[in-house]
Amino acid sequence: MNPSPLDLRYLKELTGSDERFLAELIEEFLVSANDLLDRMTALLAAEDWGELKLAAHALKGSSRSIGSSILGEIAFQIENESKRADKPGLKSLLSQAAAEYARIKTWWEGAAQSAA
Amino acid sequence: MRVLIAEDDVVTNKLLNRLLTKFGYDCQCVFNGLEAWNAIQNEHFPVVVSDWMMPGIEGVELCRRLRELKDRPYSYVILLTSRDERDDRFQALRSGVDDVLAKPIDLEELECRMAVGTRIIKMEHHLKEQNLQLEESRAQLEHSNAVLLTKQQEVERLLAQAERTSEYAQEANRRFEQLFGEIPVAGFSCDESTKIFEWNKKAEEIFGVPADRAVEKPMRSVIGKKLLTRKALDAIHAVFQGVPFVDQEWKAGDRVLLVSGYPMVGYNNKISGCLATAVDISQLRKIEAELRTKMKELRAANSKIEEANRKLSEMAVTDGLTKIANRRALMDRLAICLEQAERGQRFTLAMIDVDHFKKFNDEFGHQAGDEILIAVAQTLKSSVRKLDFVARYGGEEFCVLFVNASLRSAVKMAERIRKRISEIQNPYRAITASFGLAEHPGLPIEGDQLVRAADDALYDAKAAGRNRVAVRSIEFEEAA
Repeated sequence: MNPSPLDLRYLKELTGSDERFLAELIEEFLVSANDLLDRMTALLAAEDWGELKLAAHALKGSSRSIGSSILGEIAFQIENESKRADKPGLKSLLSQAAAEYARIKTWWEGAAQSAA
Repeated sequence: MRVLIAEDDVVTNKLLNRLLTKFGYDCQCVFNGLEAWNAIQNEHFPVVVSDWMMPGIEGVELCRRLRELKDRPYSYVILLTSRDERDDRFQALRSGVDDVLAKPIDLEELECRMAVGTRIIKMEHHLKEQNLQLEESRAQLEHSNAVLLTKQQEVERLLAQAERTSEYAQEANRRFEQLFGEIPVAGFSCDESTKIFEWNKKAEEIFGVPADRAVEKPMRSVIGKKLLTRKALDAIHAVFQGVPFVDQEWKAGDRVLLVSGYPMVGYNNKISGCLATAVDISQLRKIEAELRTKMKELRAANSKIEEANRKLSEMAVTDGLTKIANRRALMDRLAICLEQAERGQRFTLAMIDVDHFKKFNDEFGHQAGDEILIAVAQTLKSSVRKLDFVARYGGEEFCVLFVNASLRSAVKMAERIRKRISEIQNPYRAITASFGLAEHPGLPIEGDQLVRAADDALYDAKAAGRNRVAVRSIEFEEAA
């Protein structure tokens, strides 16, 4: 199995090893992160840098909270880069973020299947 | 403890809710700044955990608004930030946020920071309670102070009143002492056992006992038994039954005091004492006695003088030997008769002379002559009518005024008298008298004219042989 994209130790500490709550959290994260990524794609296309920055910030916080340092780092970069209005750079960062999100999602679905 | 969680990130929000609930906090979760602001306006949250970046109202602005709410207990605000927003954290702290907590959440840090917040809020709460208690104590103190001040003012007012009352009393006492002390009458008072209470200056003078030797002593020992008799004591005792005594005389030797006693009524309307006044009237009595003696002497002297006067006036109008009117009285009476004659009353003057009286005197002595004169006078007096007037004219000459009588009836009366004279009994020898009569003519004349006319008639009687009555009319001048 692929190494976990999330810091499970951190998550277990926070949730007190409550698997159900943890699952709930991860599900919530996946939904909200997906929404944010969709929004960010639309904002990039619209070149709304201010709103893009805010969305990236939100994704950063959410990702870090769920223990995904990679997605958090990418979101942080998008947040920083959005002031520079570097559309190609931001597009690349956004696809990296989508990829990392997909990796987390795949991992979670796999873990859920193995748990079932 | 109520905690407001304001976090737009669902994951963080959920995590915080779970963790804080696990720590024992009562959480309310909101997902944006506006919701948070609404919640805060509705309810006081001792602790607010808020994200910085939120849609609607950001965390720092939320905190600023929260701080502006008046009359609220303190809310401890923890702001969630990213680890990479170092400068922002300081800005947040400077703008009223109490603590910043980095995301993602560190469990232990969260627990500790919440504990700090709770501690501070509890402390603040405690302080507030203490403040309230202090405030209450201060209010109580102020109230007590106010009460104390009122009481103090009351005490001061009462003290001032008491002082005034005392001044009035002192003034009244001064006035009483002056009045009682200086009054020019002896004044003293005693209780029922006659123990002396008051003793004024004049009392000291009259009784000769100074106040310090009189006051508090029984009256008898002060003024003596002679002055304070049984009767006086009874009078004093009667005063205590409500019966005053007025002007009672207390005597000892030459001393006489006029004493009055009145009941003194005390505060309970009971007779508490006898107020007595005394005036020394010894001198007055002495003067009275002297006056009485003088009056007696005066009255005696007066009656002597009166007697002398009476005699004098008698002597003036009475003949000393015969006790009938004298010549002066005759002239007065004649004048009256002359006046009456002018108003139409008739009268006749008779001049009477004892015949040979000189011879009689020579023969029997003046003593016998006097006896004869007295007898003639008495005969004349007893023989005329009451309204007629008899007088001794001088020597052996007498006069009779026959009032309201005509010459004729006067002559008749004269004849009768003449006869009586000749019948006078005496140890020597019989005597006779001659009469000369003149009637008032009914015209204005002088008394002398009538006397002269009567005298002329008497001469006529003598010339005709004595012991007879002769008559003459007044001769008017031919010219008249």
